[in-house]
Amino acid sequence: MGAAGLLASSVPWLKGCTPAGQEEISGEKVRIGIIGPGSRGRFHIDNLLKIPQAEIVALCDNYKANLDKASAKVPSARRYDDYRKLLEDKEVDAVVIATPLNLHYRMTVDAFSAGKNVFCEKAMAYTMEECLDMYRKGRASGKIFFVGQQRLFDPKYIMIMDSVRKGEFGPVVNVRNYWFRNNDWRRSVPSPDLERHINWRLYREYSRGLMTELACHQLQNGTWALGMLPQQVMGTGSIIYWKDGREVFDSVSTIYTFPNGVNMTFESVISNKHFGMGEQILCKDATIDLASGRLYAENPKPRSGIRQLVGEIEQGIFSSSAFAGTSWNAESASADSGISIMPEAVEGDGSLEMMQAFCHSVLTGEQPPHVLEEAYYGSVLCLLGDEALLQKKILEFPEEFRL
Amino acid sequence: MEFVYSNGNGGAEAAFASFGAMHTVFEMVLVRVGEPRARSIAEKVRLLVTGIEKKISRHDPDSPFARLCSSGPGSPVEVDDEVFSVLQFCETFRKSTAGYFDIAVLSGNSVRPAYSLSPETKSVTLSGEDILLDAGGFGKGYALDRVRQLLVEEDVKDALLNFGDSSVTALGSHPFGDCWAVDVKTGGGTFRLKDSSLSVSGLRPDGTAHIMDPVDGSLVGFPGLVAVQGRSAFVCEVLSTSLYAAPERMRPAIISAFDGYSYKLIKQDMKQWIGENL
Repeated sequence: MGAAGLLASSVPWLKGCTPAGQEEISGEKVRIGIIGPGSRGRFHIDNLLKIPQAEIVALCDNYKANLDKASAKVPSARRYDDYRKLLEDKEVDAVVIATPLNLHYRMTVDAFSAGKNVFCEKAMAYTMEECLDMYRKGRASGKIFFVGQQRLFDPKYIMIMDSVRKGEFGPVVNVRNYWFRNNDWRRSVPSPDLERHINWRLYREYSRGLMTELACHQLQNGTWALGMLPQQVMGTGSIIYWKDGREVFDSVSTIYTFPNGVNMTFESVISNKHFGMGEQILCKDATIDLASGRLYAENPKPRSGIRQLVGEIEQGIFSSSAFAGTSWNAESASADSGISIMPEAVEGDGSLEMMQAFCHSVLTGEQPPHVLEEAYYGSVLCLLGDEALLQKKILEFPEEFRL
Repeated sequence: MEFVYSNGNGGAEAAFASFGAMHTVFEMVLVRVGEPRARSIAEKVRLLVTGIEKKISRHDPDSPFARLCSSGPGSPVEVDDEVFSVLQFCETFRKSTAGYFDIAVLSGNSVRPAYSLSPETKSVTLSGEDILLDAGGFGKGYALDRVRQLLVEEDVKDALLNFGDSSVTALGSHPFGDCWAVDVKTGGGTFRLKDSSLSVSGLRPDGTAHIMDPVDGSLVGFPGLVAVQGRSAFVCEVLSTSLYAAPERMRPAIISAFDGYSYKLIKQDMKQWIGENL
């Protein structure tokens, strides 16, 4: 909250997270229905339960096990097994949609028709056409529309992007994104007939795989840092290890190229996790590692191994100094241990702040600038990337999807 | 140049000076030297070290090393006494380390000796085409020896010199101890230095290999470190470089030719790591 307050002046969509923004809506409550309280949906429930202005009044899932788990968290909430029934509930002001990707479009559009405000998980929808239609219908409805791109609310991303956009680290020359895991990406299935229902992420009918589930977050980094959209994307995807009947790739590599020639990559493999998750912005004078929240200078100031001896001698202290090692070279990548982007560790990844901002917007009726547009482009880029993988072609960014 | 002076502990005044040289950083702590004189000495040290760098850097096209590298075979190049002497030492060290210290290791030509020396004309002649002489394996140690000599002439009794963390020289001892105690960052024990030096060789801190095996021309990937302690920083660096490149079985024979020098192998055992982690 504190960091959000500091940053709100430069990032208007954070207004709802500030003490002043919270004061504006004190005493009021948004009545929220959760559609799809699976693991992600329950994560949102946990955050909403921390927000005084949020009241979860309804839950909906056609999978009883998930509905029961959600009810255990919010026993007072009404239960539905059909989202259309929940949308008919007049006591619901806003819905949180955290269902499989292929359902986002229909549910969101129906929610706007029912006069609800919508928070929809990312990716926005299964196709670019659906994303554009959702965007237009959402804006036309006059209702609040958020998509779950929580990095927009993460203080360290906001702080560093502000500096990147001001050119404080020199021009951006490359953006690297990767997400490596080593597991089959499966959830346990109590009965074989629930396989596709529960492991929907593995099947093309419901999901676009790694591109919509993981790339969607990271591709936003390039557009945010560069302030422009990529003009083309190329890449390749394969099922290289988890040949278990799944239909989505378990290994993808993509390159997005911006009009100024700068490349942004996204890679994901789920049969090796050594490098974990990385989001790096390479500038002429510095490298930003968003995942670790650290910043590395291209030409670090010389460091000292023995300077501290002066202070120790002043104190009359004699102890061994641990500085000896192999030759340090100004060109050695590890010579600079970097600095933390935020002066103090910031908990969370922006998800709580995102929900605070959503509640604020619903209560004030003010759609914050940029949030929906950033999310829209994040989704369109990941879908365009998946198209490039499927078609095995270099694809240009289609002008008709530019807002 | 960065300079810090503290007289907060009477009788144990300490000066710190630091400047960039040889692609890394030179730094030193002088004890019990008045501030004006410490500043003056630091400047002399800087001029000395940068002067040495200008002579032995092959990256400076005006340096004797660079001129020599571009001279081609059969064309004697006149050098000054210091460069001549350094090249004499280097050839002597090559022979006494069974070829594992070799300033011509980066050459595209395996003829050895890589150069011949003419004491009468103080000239050096390369032995073949594509000879590259590189001071990377001894330059910092050599410079430290020269700085120590300068400090002795300046009547400095106690000082610690650090050149890029890999070459360290101690004069006298810490004002509140009986030596200068130095640890290797990655472990391996404390080295107690008193009028002695330490040199450490191994993979770079980021894990990349940079020392070549002169015998087979490959980059040495041994994951451990070799630390050599002894009087001269020059010899310590020669030995740590050559012992790191040499096979384990040859190391005792190489070190035995150098009285007063000892080495410690700081092993990072991959098999142990595999057993514990995989």
